[in-house]
Amino acid sequence: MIALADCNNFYASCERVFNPALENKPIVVLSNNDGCIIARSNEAKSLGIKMGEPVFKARKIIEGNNVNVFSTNFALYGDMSNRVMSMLADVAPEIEIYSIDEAFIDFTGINNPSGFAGELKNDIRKSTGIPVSIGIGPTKTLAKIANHVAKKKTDSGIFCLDSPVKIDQILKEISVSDIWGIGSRYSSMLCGQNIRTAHDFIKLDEQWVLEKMTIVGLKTLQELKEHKHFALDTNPTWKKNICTSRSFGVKTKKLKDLKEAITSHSVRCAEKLRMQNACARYISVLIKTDPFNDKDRYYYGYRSVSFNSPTNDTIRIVQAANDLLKCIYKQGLTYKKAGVIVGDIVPQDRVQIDLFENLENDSEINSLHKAVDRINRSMGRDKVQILGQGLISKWGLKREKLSPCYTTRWEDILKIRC
Amino acid sequence: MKFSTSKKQLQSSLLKLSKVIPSRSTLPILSNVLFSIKENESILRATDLEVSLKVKLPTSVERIGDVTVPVHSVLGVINEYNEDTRLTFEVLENKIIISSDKGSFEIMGRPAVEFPNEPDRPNNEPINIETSVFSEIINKTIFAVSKDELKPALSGVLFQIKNNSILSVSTDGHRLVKYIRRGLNININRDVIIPKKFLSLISSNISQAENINLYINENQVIVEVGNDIFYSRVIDERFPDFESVIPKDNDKELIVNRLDLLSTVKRVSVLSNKTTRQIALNLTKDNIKITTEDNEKSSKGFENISGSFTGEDLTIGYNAAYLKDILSHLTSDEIIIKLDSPISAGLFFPKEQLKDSDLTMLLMPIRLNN
Repeated sequence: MIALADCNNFYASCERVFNPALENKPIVVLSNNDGCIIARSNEAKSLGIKMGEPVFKARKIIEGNNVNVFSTNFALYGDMSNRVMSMLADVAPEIEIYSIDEAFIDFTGINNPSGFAGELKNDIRKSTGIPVSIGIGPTKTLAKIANHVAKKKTDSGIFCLDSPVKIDQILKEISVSDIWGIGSRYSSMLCGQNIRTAHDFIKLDEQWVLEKMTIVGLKTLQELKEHKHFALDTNPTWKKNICTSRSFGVKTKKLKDLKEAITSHSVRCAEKLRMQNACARYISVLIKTDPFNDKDRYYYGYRSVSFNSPTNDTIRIVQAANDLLKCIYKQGLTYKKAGVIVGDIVPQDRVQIDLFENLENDSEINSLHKAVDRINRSMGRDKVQILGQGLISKWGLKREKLSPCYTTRWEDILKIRC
Repeated sequence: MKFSTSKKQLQSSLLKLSKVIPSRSTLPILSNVLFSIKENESILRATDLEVSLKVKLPTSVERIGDVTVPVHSVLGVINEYNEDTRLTFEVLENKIIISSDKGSFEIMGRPAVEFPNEPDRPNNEPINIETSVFSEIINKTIFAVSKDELKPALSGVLFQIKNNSILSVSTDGHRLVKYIRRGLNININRDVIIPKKFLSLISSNISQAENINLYINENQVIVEVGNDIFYSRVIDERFPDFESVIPKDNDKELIVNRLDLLSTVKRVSVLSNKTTRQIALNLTKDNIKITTEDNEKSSKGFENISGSFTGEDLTIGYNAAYLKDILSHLTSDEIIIKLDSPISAGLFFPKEQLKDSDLTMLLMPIRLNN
């Protein structure tokens, strides 16, 4: 059996863990630069606040109902996610971390899956404060459906599809649009053919599904019939490109601000490359003005350069990015966004060596980066940084409603007065 | 303007010219061929602004004139005619009427004045080279030219012409070819980087001529092959110091049958990772074990071949595609590979160099796991 553990209203739940006064209160979390609503608690959902809605549109509901609004706090959410995932990894032989708040778990050989899932759910809630729902099924697709049922139709937050009769009955209640892997285009096509439930879907001729929905559609259908096609992917997917880009909290005309932003994004790309033990063969830099601002003409500057040999060296990446920035920067424009993309990524132990490259200092540079990464991981991001990133960022994200980083910053740790 | 010509000759000229025409261009006129019809000769010309080709077309001229025509439309029309069909071209206000005894076609052209001017012909004496020699130089070096547009100096072959010899070098930073051809009757000293596109064009058009005339001036290179004249800008960049990266003291030496190694590498590399194309050569005294492993597809394979290796046992990784290129372009049945360490350049030579020539190929390894 395969289980899917999904954290309930994850971002809102993270905010509640360290602020219990928020229990049963409506909460929304905003996107970068506090633009749109990207997460809602159940209470906020019942007030009619829509997912993805710009915050100014929901202002009346928010102010009229004392909705608690938070800027995204990825330091907190990332750390809470790690805590939940490590608890799951402790109890199961294999897990696949599917997203920041979801993981598939191998439940093979467990005699009482529902009972075990119940204990796991309670342990996670007790140890991390995060509520989770767990759905169990013979395949990943059925586990996903079981999780949907656990969340929407049970009080316990646990549901197990452990018999053909139960599966048959639940599939009749699940709309085709709620099947994992069937997107809006296929679900409209299926509805047009009067195929409305998962049960209708599994009755289809497999050849027809193959022709209309490719092999992925056919595998989905067979997974609903308990034939396992999608195995747990326990190795994190190898990224082909890494992009770090941000809209500025305050738009800027200054080359200095752009340099700081591009340097910071380059540092982040280099860190991410080293985290996956990889090197990139090319780098691109982009800067753009606001396309919706009538006063300025729209400008999108983009340029790339390839390294002689793939690299994850922060210094080389920062230098290349700043050279590219000089080429595309135009004075007098008001810039809204800057970004760095590194691509053509290869494993760092399979790098094609370049003829014209000096390898003499290679091992010293590697040791330096390892040391800096170790310090920044244990002491906090950018504790050791490139000076070009700027000591005080004026271009950073607008995060006016940011909650404290309770778990990753010493000064934000909760104080208990006895 | 009005003239007639045979389909066969026109098709052959346009096919040559179409190789110069850029596949995408912001200047629509570059998709056209200039027809310049004079009483004594008819000239057709195409250019991409970097490379130009001028060919002579035998014609019977009724009225002289100039016009540019879209080459692919004309080729599309004439391709299906019989070889001996006689075609008449008439131009009425940029409208080209192509007629045969079966019917006629009208295609819109553009005025000749919009077409880029012909590059100047140099006044200096040409270098006369045997076609086979020039072709050999191109074929030995062109595969190692860099495809990276961001490295312009490496996007052509360096020709160092001096002392009755031509030293040609190409590199993309991962492999390098140095080919010296001696015993030529050349009296000038010049260094020039010639673009890859131009050399490919020459290579595919010189097979029938015995000799070519090569002109090199400050910023362009011209090759005359029979009645065809090829022009190109030279690459105005500094070629990297290639001599400094060719190792002098690689003391481990492998002697191996080239075709055995090539066929083994071809088989083993089928299972290599599609991004890195990594294979490893495990070298011991009398044996070469070639291995590959692709963790993403859980596939692996190996083969052994015999060879004579002197030096401490060594395992070295290569990009199989690069190694296949090197092995395919070396001559001689047996080759010598001189190595030093798993992270330094390997040198590849034919065991017996051809008369008046000296071929060196260099390949950088891939770092191996651990």
